Amino acid sequence: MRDIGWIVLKDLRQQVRDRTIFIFGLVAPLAIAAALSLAFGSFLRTDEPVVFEFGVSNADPGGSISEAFSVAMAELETEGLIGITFHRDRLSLDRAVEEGEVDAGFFIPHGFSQATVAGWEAEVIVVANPEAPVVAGVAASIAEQFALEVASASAAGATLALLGGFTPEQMVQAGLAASQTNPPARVASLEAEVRQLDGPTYYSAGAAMFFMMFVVGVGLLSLLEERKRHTLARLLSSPVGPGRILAAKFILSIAVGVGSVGLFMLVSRFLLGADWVNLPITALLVVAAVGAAAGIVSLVAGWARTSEQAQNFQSVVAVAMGILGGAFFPISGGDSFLATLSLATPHAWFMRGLGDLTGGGGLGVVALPLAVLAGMAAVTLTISLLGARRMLRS
Amino acid sequence: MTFSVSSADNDPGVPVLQVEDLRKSYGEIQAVRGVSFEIAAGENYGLLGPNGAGKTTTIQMIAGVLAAAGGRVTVCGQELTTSTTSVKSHMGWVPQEIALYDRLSARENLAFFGRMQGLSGRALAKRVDEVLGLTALGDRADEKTVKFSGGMRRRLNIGIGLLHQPDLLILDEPTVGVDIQSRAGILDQVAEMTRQGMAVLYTTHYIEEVERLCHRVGIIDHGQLIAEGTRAELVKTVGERTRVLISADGNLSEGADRLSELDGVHQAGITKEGIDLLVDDATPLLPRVLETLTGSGVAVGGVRVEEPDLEAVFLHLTGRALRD
Repeated sequence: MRDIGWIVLKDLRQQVRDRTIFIFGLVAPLAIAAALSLAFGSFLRTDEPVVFEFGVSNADPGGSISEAFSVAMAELETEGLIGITFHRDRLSLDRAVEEGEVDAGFFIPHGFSQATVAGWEAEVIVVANPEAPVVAGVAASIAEQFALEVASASAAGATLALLGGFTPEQMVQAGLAASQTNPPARVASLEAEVRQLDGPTYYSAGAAMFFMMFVVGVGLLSLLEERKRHTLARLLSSPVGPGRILAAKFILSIAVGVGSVGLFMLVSRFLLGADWVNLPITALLVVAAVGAAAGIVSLVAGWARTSEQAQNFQSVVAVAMGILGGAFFPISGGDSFLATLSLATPHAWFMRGLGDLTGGGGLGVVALPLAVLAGMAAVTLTISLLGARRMLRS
Repeated sequence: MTFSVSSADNDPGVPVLQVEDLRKSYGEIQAVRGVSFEIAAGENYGLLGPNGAGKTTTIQMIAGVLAAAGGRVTVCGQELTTSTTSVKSHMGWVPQEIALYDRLSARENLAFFGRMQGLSGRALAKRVDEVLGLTALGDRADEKTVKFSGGMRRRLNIGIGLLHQPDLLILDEPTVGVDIQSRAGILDQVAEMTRQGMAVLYTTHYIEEVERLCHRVGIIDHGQLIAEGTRAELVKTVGERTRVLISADGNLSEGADRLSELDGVHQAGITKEGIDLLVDDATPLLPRVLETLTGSGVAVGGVRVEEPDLEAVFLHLTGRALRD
């Protein structure tokens, strides 16, 4: 296994002497992140969690369930998670959302409580601005949360009914009271929804991922370069097997990618004020994202016949995925086609993982982004390694 | 200048290299068609053939760089397969192209490839110094190779192949693009290594190198080994014939065709300089040769009559000049 280490060290020495890696790995991302942070950082910069303003219009006054909804919203306001204003009717609520007085609104229709208690279909209407998909998502999440509470309350109420002596309305109220015994989980969930990365952190993470894509294909590129300069044939004539050569190139890609992002994160913390929380889990996200990026770049660049062509392919992938993945401007969130498409990029999942971490919590909070990134890495790296092995044998 | 070769553990009865029925195709083209030969310890075997004859493909399969489509390669009694790598430590391959890392120094290049061959520690450092001395690069050892001249790079390219003191050294056209002085030095080194007991497989299309260095020669053409033996044995196949080298310009193709129809002319091939003939007796034939060429619109610049050599053997065997 020592020969793998020697190949990696030899390649790293050459990369360091080439100096290009420092430009793409440190200087360029620093410059871009600083420029974006200065220009747009105020839109995202928050020292405190974002507090959305919601409007509530209750057309079902006196109803036990609709009153419970108002109480739940008031609790969230007390916690400092949201702001609440009440509106007399649907029209004034719509106007408030349209004119930006509130970020989104909830309308409780007449007969809501009665319908809920009777087990008929009932709904809280979310009024949102289509140009603000993030806050619309948060509002929808609150409404869904409440619907779940009511559903579980009904179940609890049904259990109480078995004991006898309750009217249907009493059953639901009793159930709702029972469901209040677990508020921390609900608050934590909502808190995570309303938190996001601040400007310097967002743009630093985006720039780090964007420029990492330019250097993470170094393993495949150096393989093609070795083929061009005939040193690959010389390596193949030595007792080192092709599998070890490929292993060395894979390790090189991961080492350069992780080194580039890691170094940049360190520098951006001091120079740009980026705030990287939970370093061990962030490091896991970085490794998974670098693995996925290395796999994607190698897969695409693997079609190239020369190292120059592979470099061009790498650049195209880096730019396209960087923009699509929201490395410069947030596009994830909401239901737009672009947002869905962005889920095919490691950038989007990496940023989502970092965002999830800001709400607190451990590994479980980033389980989904981490699993997706690891899956991307496993699939793309396996395919590209098989292709590279075929190239070595031809 | 001294050399040392480590082949003591080999059975003296076993050839260092055995090649049996080696084959390789690229699509429809059969680049190598059933090549077989052997090389003993201390023997220098020359593989002679024109460009595109299949020399490099054969060599790359022997070196384990290229997968063979069929046949067998055995080095020091161990068969070379895609899964066995240890057998490669018995071989040192010097590719025709310069295979160096430009951003590393001569010493770093040697140390890296030495490590790939399993050398380490003091043994590696000692061999690196020895090879730097052998290739006369000691005073430039720590400079990046990108700054080296073509001759220096060529010498280092050969030095890497020698670093681990292999039992079999495979040299693929090592003197291409090398100045006369460096070329003489390389040939001297190869001769010395053979004297020390190393088996050498040497490919070239330079007749004079093969005649000077090689104990035995295999002539390869269109992927097939068409003749094999010592120089004397091969020349004997030509018989009492004489070689006539004509420097000429004009319609050489028509001139060669008409000359081949003359009585006493066995072969007529076109070379870069003119026409190469293999004849029974040159003296009475020359006036008719010149007359035929003039009639074919060929301007003759000079005529040289030589005893048969390997070039004549190739012409005799293939009907073509080696360097056409």
